[in-house]
Amino acid sequence: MGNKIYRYSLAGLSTLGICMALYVCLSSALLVALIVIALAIVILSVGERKNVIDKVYRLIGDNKALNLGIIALFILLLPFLVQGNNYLLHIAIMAGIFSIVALGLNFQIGGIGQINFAPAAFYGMGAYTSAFLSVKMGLSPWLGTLCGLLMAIVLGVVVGFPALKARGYYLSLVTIALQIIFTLMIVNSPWIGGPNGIPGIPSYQIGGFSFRTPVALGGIQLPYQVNFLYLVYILLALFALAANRLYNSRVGLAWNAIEQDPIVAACQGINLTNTQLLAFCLGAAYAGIAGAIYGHYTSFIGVENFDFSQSLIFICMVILGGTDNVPGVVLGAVLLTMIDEKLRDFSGYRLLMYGIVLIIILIIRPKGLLPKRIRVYQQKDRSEYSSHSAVVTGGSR
Amino acid sequence: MMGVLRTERVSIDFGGLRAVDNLDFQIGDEIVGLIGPNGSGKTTFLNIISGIYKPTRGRVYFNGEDITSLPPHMIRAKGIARTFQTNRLCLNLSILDNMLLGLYCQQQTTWWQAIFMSSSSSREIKLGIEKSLAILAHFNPALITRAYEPVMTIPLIDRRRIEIARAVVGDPRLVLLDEPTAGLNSEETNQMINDIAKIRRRSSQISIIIIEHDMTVISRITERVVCLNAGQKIAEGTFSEVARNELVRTAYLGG
Amino acid sequence: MELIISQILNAVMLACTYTLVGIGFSLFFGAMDIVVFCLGDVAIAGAFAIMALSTVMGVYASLSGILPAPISGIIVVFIGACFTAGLVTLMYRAVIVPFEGKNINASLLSTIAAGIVIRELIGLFYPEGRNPHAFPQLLPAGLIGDNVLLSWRNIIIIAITFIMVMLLYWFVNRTKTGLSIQAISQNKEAAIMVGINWHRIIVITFLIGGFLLGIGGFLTASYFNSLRFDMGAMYGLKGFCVAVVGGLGSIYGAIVGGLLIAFVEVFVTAFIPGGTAYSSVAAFLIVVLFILFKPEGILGEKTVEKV
Ligand SMILES: Nc1ncnc2c1ncn2[C@@H]1O[C@H](COP(=O)(O)OP(=O)(O)O)[C@@H](O)[C@H]1O
Ligand SMILES: [Mg+2]
Repeated sequence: MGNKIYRYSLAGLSTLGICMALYVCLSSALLVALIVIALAIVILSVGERKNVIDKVYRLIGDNKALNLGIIALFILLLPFLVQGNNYLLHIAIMAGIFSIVALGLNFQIGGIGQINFAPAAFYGMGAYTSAFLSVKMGLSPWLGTLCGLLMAIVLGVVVGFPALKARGYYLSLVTIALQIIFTLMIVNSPWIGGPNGIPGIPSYQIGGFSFRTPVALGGIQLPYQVNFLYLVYILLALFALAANRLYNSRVGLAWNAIEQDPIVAACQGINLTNTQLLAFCLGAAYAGIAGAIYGHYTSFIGVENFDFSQSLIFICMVILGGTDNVPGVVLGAVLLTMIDEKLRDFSGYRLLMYGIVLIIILIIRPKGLLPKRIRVYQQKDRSEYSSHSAVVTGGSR
Repeated sequence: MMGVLRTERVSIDFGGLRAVDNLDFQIGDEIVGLIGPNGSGKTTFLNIISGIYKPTRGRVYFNGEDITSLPPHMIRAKGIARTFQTNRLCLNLSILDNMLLGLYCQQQTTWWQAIFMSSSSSREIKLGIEKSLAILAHFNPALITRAYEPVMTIPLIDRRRIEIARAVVGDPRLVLLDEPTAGLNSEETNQMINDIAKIRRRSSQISIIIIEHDMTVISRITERVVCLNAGQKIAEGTFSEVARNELVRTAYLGG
Repeated sequence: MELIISQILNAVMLACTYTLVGIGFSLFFGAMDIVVFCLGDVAIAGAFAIMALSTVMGVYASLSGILPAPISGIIVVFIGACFTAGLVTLMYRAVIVPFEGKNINASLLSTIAAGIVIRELIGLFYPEGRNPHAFPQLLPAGLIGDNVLLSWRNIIIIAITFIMVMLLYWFVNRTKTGLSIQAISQNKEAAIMVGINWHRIIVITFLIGGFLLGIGGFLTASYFNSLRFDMGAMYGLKGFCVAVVGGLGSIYGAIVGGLLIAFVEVFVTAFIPGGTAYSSVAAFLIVVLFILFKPEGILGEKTVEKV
């Protein structure tokens, strides 16, 4: 009994620690953030070698409700923690939006093992559709977002179709080409603003309450970002939940089988066409929604938010966090968004940093911060079978 | 005896090479051995049956139904499962996940059910786990304790067992085994013979085509043998009949 | 008529610039089964080196003092190409060797990242690096005779490409090292078995490919008469497209592919109203179609995956 309470509080403390570390990264200077991340890498590596990480996973997994509660509370209190600082809230919102895109991209990179170099095109498709419909056609932003989602899915089919026939380098070239065609088409389409982008995108409204009005909560005046913060993180929670359920279902398993060996997968009864297209369409749907929200949040979108380098950043997020690991992907997206924002002061070094970070990660931690894990279906049964490390070892083809 | 699988004058060409030539073949409720020298087209024939290759000419019937032009996943859904000559498990996935893949064709959960009706999805998976573990126990109980380990850490004989278990866990009507004992020593080969015999003992409703080079395996478990050479069927009958056949002897000794 | 001929000439020159980087992609793919995504940036880095030698570092000026101008030009370009060869070999060590034999996604990403690093380093540390530069006129600009179509510069660009391809042809088919490269690209295991020093051959391949890339970068900069730090991204992509259309791994495919892509681009620009904006779109669409329907390219061999 005492042991149980002990484990309970330990689980709570570790989640709290992660939240606090993230908060420190968010609110302090670049250098501090980098030190926190370096520390995290060291702790993770040492923990893995000593098999502690596995126990932490189990600890957190056994007390899911508590930990989710702590994280929810953390998000809820974040506006007060940062004392209504709208810039920090902006970073947090962007972290949430990018996390959604990264979760979608992970269906392709982590699921079926195909690097899609056009996630920014999905993201842009959602943003441009929704912005265009609400600015030029006067459609409600909510409906616009829905249309953005649908159009992104259409693009998902367009990009996903080649993935059925091409793999590896060829697929990378196809997706890069489609990404560049997407940007070129936007630049050359004056009716959606061309190189000037779309300004004046309206915000969401609920019964006359615009999301762009500041709110007073608990006697404290908070900037309008708070509305979007809660909206984005509610969505992120839902999308992460869905991603996790997919991962633990027969669909996620089928994706992994295709990654490992498409022919074997087909011989197990997996419909390669539908299953791979699904990975692209679901990923596009995630990115489409995120893009639409981005447009309605910032009220301006321009082509530079959706170009090839943005795609590379999304890919970095997934690889840094850990492919096919939902918490890992979100962690990667959140961390990189924060670093990216802090690098605004050194904007000349931004891309250079991405290049170097990517190479370093690929060399020293190719599986990311939180590597892909063996599926554990029922927490309770598990101890009966094996206490062996559940981290996938080796694993190159 | 009702025919389970029947092929009619199946041929396949790779460029100028005719790897399978006008092959008439059939199997009922039995274990059929498929033998022949290297490169005689045995694996290619299994690939045609399982839908990986489309034959240049000829038809394949399964339970009386023409499956020649079906893709592999639909052929699996109809009830033909297989293993591969070079053991092809998903090395990064756990034993259990590999077994669950074998049950994929029996499960129903779609992506939206997985998201919105997760309890039915996990119930299905739970049933699958029970079934998988039962079959694993049938082959090698030691594997159950290692069910959550990646296949990469498992020795070859057990990998072959897992691959066979993955093929039979989804209750197929016909199982195609491609050289299940290749790379095993004689002790392990004996175990493998028992394992294959166990499949039939579990359910006589499973027919097996087995490709083998090891004639003791063929003589001990098959009821009928078909010998291929250069893509053509050169002999057919019980093992002792085929073993006495002149054509077979010359093919093996260097034709 | 005049217009068509001048456009054909234009396309051939563009094809020359694409071909050299396409050959680089094919050489490395043949040798190592790997696509090195940073080749465009490496080539442009070579062009920057040549520009540095002839402007800020003043090597060209001091050479011209003692030697006739064409010869000092050749020396400067040669040094630049050697620099590029060194850079590619460095890339090989830094971002390819660590990922050998691993999942191709790792080397794919690492070479893309290396391209970004090269590009950004030029942008940050070359004087005025982020602004476009006028590329020094190392090639004579005058017209040949009275014909407005034929300038010396155009002819020399085509001639240099021709010479490079011929040299490569000679090297690959007539020297022992070249034959070893071919052997490795056909069957690595067998080549090692018969005693070919794989590692040495790979490094030589990278040196040769890098040299060609340097020349390619020089020709590109001369063709456009300008140089930007981020030109390499597009240049590399086009080179990869060229190699794929021609047949990845086939050196002659890169020539055919270069011609096809260049002709499409030039003719879309010239003959379709408002086509300038869409020339790259057309080129990329062609590549996508090739990958979907003829992935082995024009001259590549069809490989069937055995099960
Ligand atoms: N995809 C393919 N492309 C070309 N030739 C093939 C292909 N698959 C098999 N072959 C050829 O068909 C012949 C039969 O091969 P296979 O069926 O593997 O023989 P085995 O009887 O040893 O299993 C061999 O000569 C092989 O090279
Ligand atoms: Mg075989």
